[in-house]
Amino acid sequence: MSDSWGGTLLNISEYHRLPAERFFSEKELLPDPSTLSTVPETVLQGSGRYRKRRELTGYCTKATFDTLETDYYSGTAKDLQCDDGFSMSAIIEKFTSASRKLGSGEIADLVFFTLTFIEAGGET
Amino acid sequence: MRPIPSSIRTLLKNKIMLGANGPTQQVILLDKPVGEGLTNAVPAKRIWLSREEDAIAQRCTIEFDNVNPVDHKDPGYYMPYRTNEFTGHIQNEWHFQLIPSKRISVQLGYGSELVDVFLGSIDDVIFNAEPGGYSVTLDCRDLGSILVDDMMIGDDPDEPYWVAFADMDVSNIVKTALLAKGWTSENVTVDLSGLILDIDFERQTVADLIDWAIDVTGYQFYIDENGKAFFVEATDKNPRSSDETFVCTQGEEISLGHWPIVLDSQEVRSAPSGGGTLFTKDTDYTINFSTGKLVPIVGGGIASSSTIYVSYVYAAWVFRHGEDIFRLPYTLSRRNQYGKIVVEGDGESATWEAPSPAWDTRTTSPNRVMFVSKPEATEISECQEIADKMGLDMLRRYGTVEFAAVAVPWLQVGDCIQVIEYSSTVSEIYRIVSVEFEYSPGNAVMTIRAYHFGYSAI
Repeated sequence: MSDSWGGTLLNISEYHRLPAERFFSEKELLPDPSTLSTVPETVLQGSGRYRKRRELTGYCTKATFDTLETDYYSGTAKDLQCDDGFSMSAIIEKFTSASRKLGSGEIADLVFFTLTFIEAGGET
Repeated sequence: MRPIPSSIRTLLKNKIMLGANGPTQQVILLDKPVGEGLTNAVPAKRIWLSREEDAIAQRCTIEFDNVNPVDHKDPGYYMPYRTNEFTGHIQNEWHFQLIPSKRISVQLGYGSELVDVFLGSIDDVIFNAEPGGYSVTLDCRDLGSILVDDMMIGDDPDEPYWVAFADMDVSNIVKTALLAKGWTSENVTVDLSGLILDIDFERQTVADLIDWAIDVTGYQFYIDENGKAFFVEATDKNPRSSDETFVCTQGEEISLGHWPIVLDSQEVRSAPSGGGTLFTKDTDYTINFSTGKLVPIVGGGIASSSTIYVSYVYAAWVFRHGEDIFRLPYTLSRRNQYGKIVVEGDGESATWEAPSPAWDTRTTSPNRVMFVSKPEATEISECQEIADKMGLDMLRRYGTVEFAAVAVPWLQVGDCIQVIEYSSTVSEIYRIVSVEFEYSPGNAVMTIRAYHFGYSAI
């Protein structure tokens, strides 16, 4: 299985898959002096989660990158497929880096990028 | 007081309310059609709810994002005036829905355990557009808003704002006014006051009428979380367990249904409903107020195999340091403390005098006098009873707590609670006079204002 964005293949060299953050808070309680060192004097609360994110580092052709950029500005949702079997309907949240290398031939047509996808709807 | 599920008691005291046991909320727009693909659930992000003892109408504010939940590029999804004529917009199921006067219900809780906390209607809708996002804020009041806002309407078309009640019990006057505003008979509970009056009102609201009725009877009025109205004798003994029945054996322990118990609030009798013999603590039985255990004393007046009926006031919830209190200001105030209360009735009067110095050495000037007019009191004993009750109520409000704690949406204004905090040495029973909830998926906090009600063992 390979990595793709809306059916377009991406050449991915690094893949960060931190779980989505949960709604979560830790609140300080007025302490019970008899249990100060034995039990936590806080309350944990939270239900639900934020959206899933996937950060991908890799490269693609300039033409493919133009498509990514267009999708980014328009907020278009497409299916993101990752080679570990994960998939979700996603939009591009941000580009952390995007660079072209000096040179000639094939390398001159490549864009090296790091970008973050964010969950658009439910998992597909 | 509403029963609190035992699973909720365990969950909240374990201090972890996460995931499937996290704070949950449900807001329903009651007038909106539902059906296939349609919902009347408002996607609330934050809810603020306030209930106060003295307010006829209670408030709730609900905030959520004004964006299509399945398309982030579709802002303004909940606008009521959205039409296909505005380029880029498509009229949807929320057309003409989020409009002032539409009815709203709110439930709060944890996981799947939810409880009704509000039934009312929208006063204001604010659609807020900022570069960072779009949101909706609904400002709502409960059904008491009808009583505050609407004039009473009489039968005479020439004088529509003149309403007369002839030879009616004051409580039935209140009930009649509520029925005229749309309450059904089964949703109105009144205690008859015994006070029969002829009275008329002109250009007055039902809230004005209720204020008058409270003044002449001393009763309390409130609308509960389900919209039911109550005009009943004022009591601060909530929650109260009445006539718990036990067949007992001398020397054997009995477990009462609830605890902690307000110190010396118990009545142990040989017959129900305040009848029979009233047994005496430490002569006929012993009682542990903190654990709710009662033991008939061997050789005492409660014979083995006899039935006893036990009534008492208990704390609906125990808030305790290290378990569920976030902060606790404890206030001792003389601002509303008088040296004398003089009740002037119809030709009679009576005076209550504050103890000075009081038990904690504070003093109150005897020349700080509150005069109260109660023309309905015709006997000196009635005047004295009113003065004594007002005096006791005033003394109790000398010590107040206003504390933030883990939200327990089942608690209501009027409930007694126990509060235990180390630094202030607070450990007594308090009575809730106002409660505010702040609710979101990651946050469930309540702020309670309560006054000292009585003592309890810890």
